[in-house]
Order: sequence, then C-alpha cells, then structure tokens
Amino acid sequence: MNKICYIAILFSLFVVQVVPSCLFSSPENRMQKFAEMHEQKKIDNPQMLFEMGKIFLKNPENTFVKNEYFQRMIVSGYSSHVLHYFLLSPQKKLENDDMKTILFALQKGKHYNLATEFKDRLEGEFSVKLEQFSEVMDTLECYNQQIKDNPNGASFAQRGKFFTKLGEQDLANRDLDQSMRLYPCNPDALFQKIMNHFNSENTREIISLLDKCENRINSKSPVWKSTFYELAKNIEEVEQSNEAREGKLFRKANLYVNNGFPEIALRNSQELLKMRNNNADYLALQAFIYYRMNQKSQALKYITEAEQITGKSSKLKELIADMN
Amino acid sequence: MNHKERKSAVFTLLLLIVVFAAIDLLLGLFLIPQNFNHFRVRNTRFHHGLKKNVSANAVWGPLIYRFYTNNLAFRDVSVREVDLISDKRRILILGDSHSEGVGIDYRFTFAGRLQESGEKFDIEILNASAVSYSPKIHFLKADYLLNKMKLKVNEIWVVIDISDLQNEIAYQSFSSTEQKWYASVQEKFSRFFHKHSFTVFSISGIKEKKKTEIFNETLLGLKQQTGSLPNRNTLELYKEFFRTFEDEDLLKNPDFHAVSEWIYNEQLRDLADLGLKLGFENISKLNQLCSDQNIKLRLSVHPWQTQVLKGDTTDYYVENWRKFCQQENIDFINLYPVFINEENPLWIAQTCYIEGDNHFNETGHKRVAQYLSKYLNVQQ
Repeated sequence: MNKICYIAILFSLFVVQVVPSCLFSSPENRMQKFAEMHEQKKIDNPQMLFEMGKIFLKNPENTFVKNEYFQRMIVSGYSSHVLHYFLLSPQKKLENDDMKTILFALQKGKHYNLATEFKDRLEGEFSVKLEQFSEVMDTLECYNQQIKDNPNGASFAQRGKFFTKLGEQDLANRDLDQSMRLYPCNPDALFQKIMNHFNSENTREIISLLDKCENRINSKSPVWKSTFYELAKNIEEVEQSNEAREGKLFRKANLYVNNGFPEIALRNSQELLKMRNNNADYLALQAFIYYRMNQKSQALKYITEAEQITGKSSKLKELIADMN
Repeated sequence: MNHKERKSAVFTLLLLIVVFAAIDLLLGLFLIPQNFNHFRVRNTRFHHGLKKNVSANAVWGPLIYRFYTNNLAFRDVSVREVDLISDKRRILILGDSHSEGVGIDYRFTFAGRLQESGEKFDIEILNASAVSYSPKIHFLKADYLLNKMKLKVNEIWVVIDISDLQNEIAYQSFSSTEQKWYASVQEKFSRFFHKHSFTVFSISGIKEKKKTEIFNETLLGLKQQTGSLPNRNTLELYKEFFRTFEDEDLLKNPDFHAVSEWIYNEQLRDLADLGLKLGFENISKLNQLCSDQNIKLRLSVHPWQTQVLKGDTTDYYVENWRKFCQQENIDFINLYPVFINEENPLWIAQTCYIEGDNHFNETGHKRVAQYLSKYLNVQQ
C-alpha cells in the first residue's frame, strides 16, 4: 500500500512538472514570449538575449527563432557574433533573409573588415550594397593614412567631417575635439562641431565654444561665426524663458527655419502638431518648413489643412504652388 | 521489535531514502539553473583550469558560444588528442580570459587564428589560457605542464593585461599543493550533487550567501561609479577567483574592482605597484624555468578599452613591463599600438571589443592575430 502511495506521489510530481513544460515551451512560444517582453523591456537586456540564445541553440534551423535572435543581437551590439555564425558554415547557401541580416550586421557593427569575407556569398542588390559599404572603408583608410602622415588639426577635422556624413556623431566629435586641441579654433573643425551641436540642439555648448574662440573671431573670420552665435543666444534665451513648452517650441522652430536649419525646425514643429494637430499656425509653420526643405507635396498638404481651419487663402500657398 | 517489524522498518526507511532522493533529483532537474561553467574546475596546483575533452556551450554575458578542450585540458578547435612531444615547433600560450577567448568561437580568437596560420610554418600552437589567470598561475601551470606532465614546447608566450595587477594580489594567499589521489573523485561527486541534488544546491547557496552579499554591496558601489553591472554569469566567475582572498576591506572597496583605473589614480598607485611587484616575481620564476629547459619566453601586453580611450601606448603599466623584460632578457611585445594609433579611439572601442566589455570581439582578436603572426616564423 505504502509503495503505491509513493509511486503515486512521484507520478503526480512528474505530471505537474514535465507535462506543462512540454506542452507550453515550443521554441516559437518561448521566443514569442521574449519578443513580447521586449515591448516593455530594453532590447539590449543581456539576460533576455541570453535566454533567447539558449532557445536558438536548441533550434538553429527555426527561421523565426533565428531571425528574432539575430535581430536583437545586432541591435544590442553583438553583430560580429551573428556574422561569424554565417562564416562558420561557408558551404551553406544563404537565403535572402540571411543576406539581409548579414548586411544589417555589417553596417550596424561597422564591420568593414569582414565585408570581403562575404563578397562572393551575397547576390543581387545585396552584393551592390556590400560594394558601397566597402567603399566607405576605403575612404576611411585614406583619412587614417592622412592622419598617420600628418597628424595635424586639418587631418583630424577632415575625418571628423567624414564621420558626420556617416551619421557617427560621437566618432565625429572625438576627431573634431582632437583637431581643435592641435589647432585651437580651427574654423573647419569649429564649424562642423557647431553644426553637430545644432543638430543635437545643444546651444549652450555652441555659446561656450564660440566664447572660447572669441579672441580669434576677427575681421577675417567667416560670417557664420557671428550668425551662429546670435542664433544660439536667441535659442538659449527662449529655453531660459518662463514660457510654456508649446510656446518655446513654436519660437524655436521659427528661429531654426529662418536661420537655415529646417530639419531641426521640423523636429520642433512635429512635436507641436503632436500636442495640437488642429492649430492653423502650427500647420502653416510646418508647411513653411517643408517649403524651405523643397518638399512641395508635403508643404501643400499642410498649408491646405491650415487654410481649411482659418478659411482664408494664404500667400504661402501661392509660393508653394510656384515651386518646381 | 520482532524480525518482521524490523524488516518492515528497514524497508520503510530505505523507501523513504529512495523517495527523498528521487524527489531531490527531480526538483534538481527543474529548479537548478543550467550551469554553463561546468567545464571550469578548481585545481590545487594552479588554482583553477579546464576539464579535459569538453564539448559544451559556454556563455559570456549574453553571448553563447561553442567550447572545446583537448586531452591536455586546453581550449582548442575541437576535442582532440595532443601528444606531449611533437616534431613540430611548439608555442604554448599562457594568458587570461582574453587569450582563452571568452565569448568567441575558438577559430575566431587570436589563438585559434594563430593555430590555423601556424600550420603553414609547421608550428603547433597550444593554448593553456583560462579566465582570471595571471603571472602566478602562469608560472604554476607551466611548472606543472613542463615538469610534471613532461610537455615539450619550444616557446612560451605569456599574454598579460591590466587585470593581472588585481589577480596577482588576489592569488597572493594561494599556495600550490599536490593534487590528492582522491581529489578528482571528490570533485566529481561534489559536481554531481551540486548539479543534480536540489538539497545540496540549496545548502551550498546558503553557504555562499555571505560572500555574495559582500559582492552585491561592493558592486552596487561600482554601479554608481560606472553605471553598469557585470552580467550574472560572468559575476559568478569573478566571485570564484576571489575564493582564497581574505581581505574583506579591499573586496568591499569599489575602487578595488575598477582595476583598469589603478594606474591613473594616485591613491591606488600602491596597489598597482604591489600587483606589478608580484607579477615581476612570478614571471621571473617562469623565466628561470624556461631557461632551464631552453624554452624561449615572450611576453605581450594588450590594452583594455579604458587604455584605448586614454590613448597612451607607453603608459605606466606598459613601461614597467618593458623595463622588466629588458632586465630579464625576455622578448617584449607591446600590443597597445595595434589599438592605439592614427585610428579614431572611439571607433576602436566600438569595433574591436565586445559591447560594454573589455574583452576583444572577433575583430579585436583578428588584429592581435595579424600582429602576432609575424613572430610565428621568428626562430630562437
């Protein structure tokens, strides 16, 4: 009788523990669960990536599991790990999804050194993009060589500008700072650094930079220095005012668009429209920004919306209509 | 109690033990988390090492990678037999986690790449590195391999970095003893129960609690300084290497765990100097051992991300080792210029190191391999 009891206890323990885990833990289910968790959690949560990795290891052939895991690894900064997965199986024919992943991993991780290893394995549009990707590395190597030969302010400024073009702000700033250490207030580096600060709307830094270079701003200096200084001061004044956020955004957008920074102005006006999308002034401002960016259809769309609210026709619409 | 009752009592007792064991193992099966470091073993001679002939999945932070060891318990491209004596010229690499290649498949580590390119020159590369090794362990392990195992090598390449300052201090109280004949059986039993018995797992967890608490407090301080915490599984390894370290005040000091900053911080310079002094003593012993066996010794230093961002190829650490090697007639290889040069330092930090980590990624390993490969074909 005792024996039967014990066997029954063991069996029930087995059923309680094993059966649910078998039923509810298919790789897709578990991966799906982690993928959903991402909505609440940061994508680079290491513990989550690690758990996903375990699921992937058990199911390397499951496309959904593989794609989901790789995507998150790449975004989290472990792209080289993903790329080497493909290099470990050189005989395997790459699917379109794989080629897309490889290109994404190369670009995201800046793995220019690995580009050649995939040269013969990517096809069609992916091959063309890989070629373009490799060209960036060639250019960068030229800049590196230039710095090696002449490690002066001008060479660092050149590479800093190149990194800016690539959208690598941190890398660009590091080079531009180095350039200005070697050649204080180097106009080339100063200009680029100010542009970068404008893009991140860091006007306080611009003022501080230009203040430092005040003694070097002389009659021979380019006009942009005083223009930028004035704009940065005006923006800073708006920031420091007691005005409500909406009012500040509106004034800043106007200042930016009127001083040749429509992209930054657009960020501000888009935020305004999120707050109130039926405000005719905001819509007209958005239209004007698109006009300055030479985007006719968008400009027309917003000015029409603004006119529908006010019921009046505007001069701006005529200007937009005359755009090429 | 008559015979029948006694028999019944014994039977019930046995049954209870069996049921307890079954439940214990069953609970262990579901509740004990998977251990990805089971191939790392303690060693009474050289503190710790790897198991022989392992084929496993290893983890480093969120990275999961394949891990193989050969019959000599060295990390390798696959599980394979390596003879103690070889006709080929042999180079033995001794290093820490960087040389072991944490987070990276072996063929993409610098040691794996050198192994591959060494074949062209008929050179065999063996890698006896493991996580948290430092000069003291390099000497003890080399002594064991050369004198006890009678492994024949032509060259030893010691690969060190700034973490050795801390490791040397942590291993100061470790004394090497002969491995007892029953030690491996004991270790196997212990591992089995830790891996499968929920009771043993829970009790050992309680025992470890004190040390864990000290670490948690300390690392909280470290988090305030650096803004990040090491991953759980790497933290367990890190804790393990302090197992013979008794200075709780130092363990509780967050600065003690930021070893890459020691040489730049005047208050910690004494600690850095102590680490250097201990390192010199141990490499000196290793140099003597190599001279006795006519083995060429080379020593290389490589930078962490912190050093790359500082941009100094001849810092306090490098210069001290360079001078020491000059005095001891050891070939010195400075790998700092491989990472600190005309390139953008932030670019190097972003592209050559594992995200948020001081270890090389595959790109960093490739650079090291390219640089070191020029020493492959240099005869004594």
